Amino acid sequence: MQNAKTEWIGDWITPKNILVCVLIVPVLLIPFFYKGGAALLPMHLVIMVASYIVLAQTWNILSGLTGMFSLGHATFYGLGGYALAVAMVKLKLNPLVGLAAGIVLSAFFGLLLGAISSRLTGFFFTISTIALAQVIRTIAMQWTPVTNSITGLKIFRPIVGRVYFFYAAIAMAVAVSIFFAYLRRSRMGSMFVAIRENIHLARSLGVDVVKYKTVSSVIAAMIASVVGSFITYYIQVVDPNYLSPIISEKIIMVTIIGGMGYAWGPIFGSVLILLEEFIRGTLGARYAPLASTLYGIILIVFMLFKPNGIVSINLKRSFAMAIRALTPQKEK
Amino acid sequence: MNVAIWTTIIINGLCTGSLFGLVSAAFSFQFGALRMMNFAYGAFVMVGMYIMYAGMHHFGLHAAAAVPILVVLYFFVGYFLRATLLKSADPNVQIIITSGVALVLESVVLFIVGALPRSLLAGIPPTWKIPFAGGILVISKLNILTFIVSSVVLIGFSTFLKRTWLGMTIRAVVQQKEAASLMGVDPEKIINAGFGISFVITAIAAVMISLQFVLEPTAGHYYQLIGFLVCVIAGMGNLKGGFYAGLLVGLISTMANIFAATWHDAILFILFVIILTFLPNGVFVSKKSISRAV
Repeated sequence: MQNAKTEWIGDWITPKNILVCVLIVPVLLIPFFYKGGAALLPMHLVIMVASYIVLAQTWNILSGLTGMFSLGHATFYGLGGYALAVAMVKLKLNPLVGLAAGIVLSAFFGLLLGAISSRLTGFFFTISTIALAQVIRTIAMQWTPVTNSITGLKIFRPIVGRVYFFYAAIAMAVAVSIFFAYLRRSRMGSMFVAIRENIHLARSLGVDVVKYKTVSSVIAAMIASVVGSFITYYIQVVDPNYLSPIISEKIIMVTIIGGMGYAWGPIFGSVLILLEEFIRGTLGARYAPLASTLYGIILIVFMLFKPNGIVSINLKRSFAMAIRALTPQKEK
Repeated sequence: MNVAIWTTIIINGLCTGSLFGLVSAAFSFQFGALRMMNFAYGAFVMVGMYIMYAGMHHFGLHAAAAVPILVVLYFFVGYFLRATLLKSADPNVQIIITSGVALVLESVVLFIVGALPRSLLAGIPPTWKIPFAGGILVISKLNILTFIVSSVVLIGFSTFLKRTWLGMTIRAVVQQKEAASLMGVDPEKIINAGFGISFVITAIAAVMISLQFVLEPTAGHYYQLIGFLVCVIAGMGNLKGGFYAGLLVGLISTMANIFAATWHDAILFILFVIILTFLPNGVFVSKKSISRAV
């Protein structure tokens, strides 16, 4: 077991990891390349992509590792956002109190989800997550004195440079990705995977299934809530769209297209979030819904032909196959 | 609130409930009998509503002409959806692919028609006013029509499953694929046809919904959840129970609308989670018939 630790640190130094680390450097330098206002848009895009990486990693813990297929992950994101906004606007508290409140609230809902998952599995668990998400969304829409209904809450905060948000988002994405990779190789991660692969076998071998499912959903809920608070503090507004099923679908799409259950999955998949901004930028806001159309089509195509996502594409082998297909054959 | 008003409320609740029963029937059949998870179900209801709208308002078709076109179209949509995209038997793959289909349909409709809610029939629907127990019963003709159509379709569908050759073949394939294929039945084609037929019910439900409720690109989510709720109360695959469960949900929904209109959705879906957690086999079904972990 002592050797195992050194082994897996060595495993990290692979060509792919080095390549990605090299590619990240220009992204980190974005604030220095552009001067003045020109840097704002690229920085905003990177912040959104980084926040989706974190959200997708949390969904990856819940569904990719533990196999609890949730379609209501936006709930935790929205809870974090609303907790921060209510604490700041209605109760005039420090944003950190709001952040903590969001984490506690989400942890409570994670516990609830874990309790439900002890009784329901598979499809029935999935539809109960949809129903819970809808309940929370209805509360956000109807509890007007606290949530301001559809208009949402607007936050007034001291002016903070976007550079700080930019680096905070990247740091969060990197930290959570490393945490995921660590979790996947840890003892607890093995328990999660055992539950996903065969719940009855895992139970018969002494894995406390209910405990680990609950732990998994609480971890995912707490981290997702932090992202919600962060984005709300950054955009300065929170409304029921934070809880919409579209957000959940985007999180799922990012993870599945990248590769479910792999640390690199959400990182590769989250590049697709840029597609929407790209279409909005080039074709105009009227064409923005077409981004979702493309997301849907890409999701279907990947599910049919590459169900394990971008991670499973073996570049070396595809390249070799392409070369062999293109070279003239001298048979007969 | 006198007796007449209460009777009116209950009758309207039952009529709405029959519509919910119809909405859930297609999903219940797809999931319970064919083992297909269709999360694009609500999106197809929504698209059916918009096709009705387009047929009547843009192409000037009469409702009686638009319905057969929609029904035939939906049969083939269902058939080819199963034949091309939904071949996998893995439930998670089916959920993801149908969610993708729903995303595509919703965003395309949003792009074409915009987010503005529309309604198919303008004005107040015609009603019957009947003197009853010292008050007046106000019953919408549309509600009665809905009740009749839903009952006829559901009775017709269960008769179809029990009596006709195709219905018996579908049940045979669902029970034992290998044995059915030894008897000279192509199971794939039969499941495709069964999926197509479930889409016919979806189309009829879409027509009946579009006559009464507003059309919105996001309306599908609501009917999908209502469909799940009714199926869960009834027990998956239980068509007759689905109708009764639909009536029950309709009554609860009408009551919730009267006493706490803003919390209507929250009440329904909390009820949903509670029933799902404590009675996962459904209220109208014995414990043996369907296992919990599907």
